[in-house]
Amino acid sequence: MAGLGFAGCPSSKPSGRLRGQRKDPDYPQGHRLREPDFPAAPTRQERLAGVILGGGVAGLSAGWRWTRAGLTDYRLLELESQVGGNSRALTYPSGSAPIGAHYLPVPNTEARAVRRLLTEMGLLTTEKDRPGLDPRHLCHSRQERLFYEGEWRDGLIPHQALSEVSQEQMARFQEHISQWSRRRDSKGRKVFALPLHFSSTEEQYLALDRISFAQYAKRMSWDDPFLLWYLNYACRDDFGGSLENCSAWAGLHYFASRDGGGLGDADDILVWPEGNNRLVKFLQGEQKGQIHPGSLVLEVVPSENGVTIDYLELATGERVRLQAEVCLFCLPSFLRPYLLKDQPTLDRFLYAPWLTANLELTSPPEDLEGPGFTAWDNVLYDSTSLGYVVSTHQHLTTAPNQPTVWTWYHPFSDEAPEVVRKTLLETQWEDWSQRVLGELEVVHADIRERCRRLDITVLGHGMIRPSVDFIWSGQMARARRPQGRLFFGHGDLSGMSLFEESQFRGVLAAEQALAVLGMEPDESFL
Amino acid sequence: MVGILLVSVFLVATCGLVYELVAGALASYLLGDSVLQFSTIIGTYLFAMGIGSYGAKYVERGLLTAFIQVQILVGLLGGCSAALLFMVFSYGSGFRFVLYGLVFSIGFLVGLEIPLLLRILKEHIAFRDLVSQVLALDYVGALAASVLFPLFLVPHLGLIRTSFLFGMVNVAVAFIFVTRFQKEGRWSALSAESALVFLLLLAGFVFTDKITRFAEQGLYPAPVIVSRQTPYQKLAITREPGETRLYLNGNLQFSTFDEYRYHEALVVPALMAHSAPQKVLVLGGGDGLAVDLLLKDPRVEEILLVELDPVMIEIFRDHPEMHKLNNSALRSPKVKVVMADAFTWLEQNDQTFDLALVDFPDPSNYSVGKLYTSHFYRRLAEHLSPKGLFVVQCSSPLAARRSYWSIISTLEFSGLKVLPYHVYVPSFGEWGFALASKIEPRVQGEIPIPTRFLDQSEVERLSRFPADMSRVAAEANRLFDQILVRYFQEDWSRYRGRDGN
Repeated sequence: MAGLGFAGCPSSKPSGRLRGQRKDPDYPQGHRLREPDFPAAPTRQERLAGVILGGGVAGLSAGWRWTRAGLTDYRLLELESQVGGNSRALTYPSGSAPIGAHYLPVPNTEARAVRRLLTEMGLLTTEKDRPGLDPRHLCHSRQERLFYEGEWRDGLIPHQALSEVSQEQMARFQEHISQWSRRRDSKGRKVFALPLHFSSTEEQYLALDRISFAQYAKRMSWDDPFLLWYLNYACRDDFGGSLENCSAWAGLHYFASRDGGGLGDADDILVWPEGNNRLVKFLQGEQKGQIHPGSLVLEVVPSENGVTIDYLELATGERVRLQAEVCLFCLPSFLRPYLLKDQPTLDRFLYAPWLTANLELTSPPEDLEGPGFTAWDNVLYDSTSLGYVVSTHQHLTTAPNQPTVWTWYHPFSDEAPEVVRKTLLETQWEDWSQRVLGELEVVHADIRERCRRLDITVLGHGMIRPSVDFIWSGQMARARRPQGRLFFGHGDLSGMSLFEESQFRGVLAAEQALAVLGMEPDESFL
Repeated sequence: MVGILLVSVFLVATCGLVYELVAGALASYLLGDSVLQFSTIIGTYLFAMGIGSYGAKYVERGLLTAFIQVQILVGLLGGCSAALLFMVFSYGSGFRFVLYGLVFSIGFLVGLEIPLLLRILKEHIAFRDLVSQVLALDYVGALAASVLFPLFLVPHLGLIRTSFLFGMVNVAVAFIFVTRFQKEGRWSALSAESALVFLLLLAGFVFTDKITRFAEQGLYPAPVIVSRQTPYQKLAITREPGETRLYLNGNLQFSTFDEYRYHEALVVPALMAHSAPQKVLVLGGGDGLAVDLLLKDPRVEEILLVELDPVMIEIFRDHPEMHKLNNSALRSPKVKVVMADAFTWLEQNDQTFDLALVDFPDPSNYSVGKLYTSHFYRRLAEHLSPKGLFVVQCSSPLAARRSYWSIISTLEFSGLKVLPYHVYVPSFGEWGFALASKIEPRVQGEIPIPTRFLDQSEVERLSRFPADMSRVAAEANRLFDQILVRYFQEDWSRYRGRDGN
């Protein structure tokens, strides 16, 4: 518990002119579960049809599904004051910016729940039988650029600057990937689908989950440093992992699963200034009455007839007991031992810590390419960070020099997560803000003068990591099993921290519960 | 002793004429009509000198002190005059008042100098020699100034530095007097005063670039008369006899030498393609030159100008001189000006127009490139009346051929019928435009407004593309895939690199 004193510290910390805060989740409250000191008996009891634990994308999607099925007699318990989990956003005078999840790939055809959501939001429309996405929200040009050998390059692969060997291997890799994306198994299923639930389960493909992506690269004779950087970058970016600690199945899934679903190219994405908080706000929309923020879940007891949930109402300090007919556990699985008795082994659930920084800028800093060239995603080659995304990228205003907010991402993909988490809680805002500015200063000389405010968010359990032999393991299969009338529906049960997966798990749990309640919907959203 | 005094006469005379020339040149640059400016300024200056000479008789005692004070004051006023006048012209009003006020004050002070000097020197030189020597040196000094000014000073130092430099000369003369004739009282005060003014002028001379933001004077082929850093861009107007130019971020926007070719090409075919263009939308084009042409068509009843940069309007509507360039078009009761970003404005408003003129900077980066996307054109088309049409400036079909045809492809991709055409504008080169509408645009009938360039047969020729500009395959530009910016960069770098630079 060392160093907790500052976490979530509300006071601004001036450092010269620069101000900023830690915007961490409420660790002090969450960590109380380790040494419980709560009132033993509930002061209040209530009966409800359903309870959803956790207000991240999974929990909110579950509630969305229930609402659509006409079930409104439920409560969604969330520890933080804001729902959204990794898809939360911070608000600045010039607009909002994500602290974490910041884009949604154009959904595949099998991502039916995503398509339904986008249709409800008015972003996916069908004209003359042809579905199309609102171009305002597809990531505008330029989507990505890479700072490589002293220059910004268009896209993530600087073809012109690469050696012949690199280019040859890159071409070979891309051809290899396009074969994987086209391949279907004996039942006509995609080998790598998104949501991954729809992927082929044939042994020859699942075997890829039992070797690391690094081993696979070696087997394919991919040894070019740039290609290996690129593969490792993908693992860090999507999984908070590395070539060594992510499975080959997961690594290939990253590259081969997205196909644009007839709505665009495989690498087209939807983005909003506030990131995926746009989706969260919509999901939240009709559940205002059900969502109870500031609720620390203490104990969950499932049975054949219902589920008993005890939680602490932070505002009043009261212990409240809910008797629910069904309950959805949409919290990350690492919390299970604290809340539930007799849980299966969950030792393969490893979570990568993340640190993100939001930089509020009075105007875009100097750019080596000149004004108007910043991409949405700006990546620095060979950096331990992933670079930054620009919140105002989608603005239709063409005026330069407008204030903006950048989000800078840093996953801890190699180190032991427990050690990193401890260090992260102990490090100070000053150290990290200087480190962020120091890195960006290399490419934006006057970033310190432009930066008015820098907020740091530590996500201790930022992302589930698709380690070797995890996604398709027996341990995972057991973790997904309902316990009585308690259903599990968090994104970590897919083994990948993606919107599609969290939504899938949440909706799946919600539909399983509806069946138990005798409200089985005519049509699954999945 | 006498030698120093006589050298001072020479220097003082040179300075006096330099200030007069600076004021005349500046007024010519800024206001045009150099004959008028030089005549009135010389007249005012000489008249003020006369008053000064007459006034010298009221100085009865402390001649030396008075002379030194006058020197310091002339140095200060004359030295700062050019910088001050530029500032007033760029930022404020009352330019003429300040101009003639300054000229009069300097003239008055310079007029005081010679009588005072004569009276000081008459102690040392016989009157007959004195008058001859002083007046001779006075005229020689004038010659020196009038030769140095156009040949060396303006080309090498510019007006602002020149006046600072001669201000320092004046103050140096004062300082020499202070140190050489230390017999009366208040010397230390006077030397401190002259040192202070000297340092001030020196700072002005050294930091001319910083304090006046006319650093780019050297970047432009003609003298800069207005220079502003707006929140959106760097704006500069240059003027030389017969030609005024506007530069934004260093790129030429128009030259009064041939802008009529550009603007007639932008406006006239569009006016001809619509039977009753009553309501017109102008996007960009805050210089008012296109609006000026539109107003010449009696069918046009209302013009809405959407301009991002308020400084453009401040200059081309409100500035006492610049509004003359567009015949005060932006002051017309038919014209309404909205300060807004064009794209955002289209998203937030639902007015419709018979005609829209789209005159944006070239798609040289991804930010401006958004204004050349299919999404933008679809939005714009929603703001057109049923028979409405719009015209777009599309860069050069010769120098940036793929870019030009990519814009045409984009308009077609947006579901519009397009008429591509081009015109030769000497200061730009071959320049491309496109008329776009939901119905096939047809340029027909009489030329609706008086023109200098376009006539019936010229209009017909506009839409013919010779082989080196004819259509090439180019993709449409879309928000999420701005191919145009890449085309534009490649086209222009190839074009500029064609002779190896």
